[in-house]
Amino acid sequence: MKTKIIIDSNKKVLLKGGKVLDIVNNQFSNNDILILNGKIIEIGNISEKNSFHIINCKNKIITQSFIDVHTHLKVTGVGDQEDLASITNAALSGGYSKLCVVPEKKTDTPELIEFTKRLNSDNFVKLYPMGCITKKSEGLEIAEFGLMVEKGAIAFSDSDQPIMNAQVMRYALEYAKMFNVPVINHPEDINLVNNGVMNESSISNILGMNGNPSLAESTMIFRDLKIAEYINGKIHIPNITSSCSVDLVKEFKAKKVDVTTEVSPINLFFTDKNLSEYDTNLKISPPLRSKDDQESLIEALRDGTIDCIASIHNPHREDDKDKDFYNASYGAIGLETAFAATNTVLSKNNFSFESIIKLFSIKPAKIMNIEIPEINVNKKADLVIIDPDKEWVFTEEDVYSKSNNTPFINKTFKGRVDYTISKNILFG
Amino acid sequence: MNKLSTKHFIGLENATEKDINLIIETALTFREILDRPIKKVPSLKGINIVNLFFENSTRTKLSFELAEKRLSADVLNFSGSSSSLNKGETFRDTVQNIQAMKIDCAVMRHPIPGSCKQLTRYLDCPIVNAGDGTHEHPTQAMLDITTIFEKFGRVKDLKVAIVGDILHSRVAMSNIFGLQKLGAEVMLCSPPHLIPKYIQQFNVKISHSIDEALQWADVVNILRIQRERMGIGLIPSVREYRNLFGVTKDRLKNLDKELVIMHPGPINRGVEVDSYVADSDQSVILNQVLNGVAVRMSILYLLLGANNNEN
Repeated sequence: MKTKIIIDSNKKVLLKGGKVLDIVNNQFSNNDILILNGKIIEIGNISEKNSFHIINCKNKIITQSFIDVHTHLKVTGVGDQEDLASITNAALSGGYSKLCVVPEKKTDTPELIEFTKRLNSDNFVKLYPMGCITKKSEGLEIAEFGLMVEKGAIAFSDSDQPIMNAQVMRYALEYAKMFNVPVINHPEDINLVNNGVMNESSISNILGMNGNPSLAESTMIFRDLKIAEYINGKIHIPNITSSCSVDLVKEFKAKKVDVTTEVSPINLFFTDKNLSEYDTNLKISPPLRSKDDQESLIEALRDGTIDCIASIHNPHREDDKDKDFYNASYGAIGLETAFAATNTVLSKNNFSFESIIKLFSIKPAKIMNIEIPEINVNKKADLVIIDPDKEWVFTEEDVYSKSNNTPFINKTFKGRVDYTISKNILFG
Repeated sequence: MNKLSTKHFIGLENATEKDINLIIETALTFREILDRPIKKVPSLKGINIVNLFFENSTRTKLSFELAEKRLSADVLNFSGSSSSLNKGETFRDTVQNIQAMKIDCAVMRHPIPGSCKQLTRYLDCPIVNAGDGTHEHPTQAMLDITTIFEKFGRVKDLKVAIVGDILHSRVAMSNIFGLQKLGAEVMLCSPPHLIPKYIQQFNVKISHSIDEALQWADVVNILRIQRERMGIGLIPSVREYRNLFGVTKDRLKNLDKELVIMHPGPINRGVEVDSYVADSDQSVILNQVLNGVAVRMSILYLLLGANNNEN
């Protein structure tokens, strides 16, 4: 169990003996780092002093902390839903210090963007709100993009409600061009989803569950890419899952369409075959696909067709998951496990460590226009300390969310975030 | 003592050939008892069985209840529509409350696929699947297979065509698994959009022509066309369906062989099957109903009876 250690503002923290990866400059170095009050004050060979709080970083890698492009916050609920402390701990435990928050409660006005921003005041994880594309997420009329951007909206999304009307999507992509922020549309045609709850496959036949074909996803992605191409818009496609979607994105990237994409670690770790026990923690949208799809997602991460990893952290109360598969809510928590799960799969597929780290920091930063500080003197110490080879079993103890809707319990991971440093706290 | 190799009877996907044969053999023994003047045996005396029906069902429920009573079990009936589920109680709480009253076995019909597997996580006692959505309806498949065995004396190498809405059927997959395990060949005959896209991976023949299916088959199992499927664009009209897929008198008369006609009921006369066909000597539809009781007696006995006798 990790804990939050608050460091006095006059106490120096020394990261000793680690390998430093400055992902902004793509440079490895063997240096010690001295931190005071959330800032790096010295880098180099630094000798230990009794007054320092010292962290032994031997065989560890120190790099910039992570940015998540797809978090469902769930802090505005009541009772046993999440609160700011639980989401903060969940994020820090997974190495994240910045979260892009998808609109939860129909965040379609500048007032509601400000509301999310205000949650930031004394938080150790920075929240970047997205605004709704359409008023009340109804998919009919575009919302106040300009006023919301002024208040800090970094992107527009109707969360998991797809914009079914293509003309509305065209308006949104054209209008958003004035603000240079991405429009993010859930990639499913709901008519083709046809009440499907898992991938349409021979496995859905065996399990007797309504199939949701990859066609529903690729049809929507194709439509949106054609619109983006036609009006030269900026589009980000969330949680892609199928090889067909990958092929489309590749094709339109080659045509220089301004498109970026993300994938969830769950899709890298599990396939539709894992649904044989009807585990509702694996009920996600779009659904888990086949082994072939999974392999194409991994290759798309390698060749850059998929830009980054998104945690798609989506907490649900236990009662909303402990249901039959049809009535259980969609989604799983992911902040705690995103790095470890991804590193486990990608390192096995011969990805270099720095190429994996880029999927969590520099690439999400680029998509969302967020700045990442260099690892240098006088820069912010937004850092993670990672043990890249550590083999460990993820247990309920490692869940910091109030919700525990994760399919990763008892899974073995390779690579662990040991510490996250943000402002004047150490989480580890 | 004869027993099934599994604690529960959830589906035929993972059932062994040995278990399937044991169920048939035992069912045919019980079938003889059903022809006696007194049709009751004491095998499950003192055993409490609850029938959990979260979805309307007439014949399956009657059949189970009769099977339980003929084995001398004590029977409790629960139906979803008149239950506390309407008051907001969860599925889990409902079934755990029933378990708390000391139940020895639960038979469940539920509209959601996978709900029987879910039930095994909540209850300790053996569970019998009486149909969980479009997942499996293994007792129906077993009564179909037992009826085929009774008619032909074997199942191996027989050709069985299943005709109708395969996509929304609760029994098609169970029949495919069970029949193939005993060495029968299966053909599915239906409009293309009512056959699951990936079903060919299960080594079945596919046809969109009823005449082709009737020509090929030794047995034709005709599924009910659910009237609720009409009017939502799946089946344009009754007359169109009957024209393309109805098992009619004319179609049967054109064959140079005697097909065995099966139907799980309830029948839409004049839609998927003509009255002439359903009532003909070739039809074993009512044998299926009687075998349904025998098969359910067999399964309950093989799950519970052996233990009961030991005690």
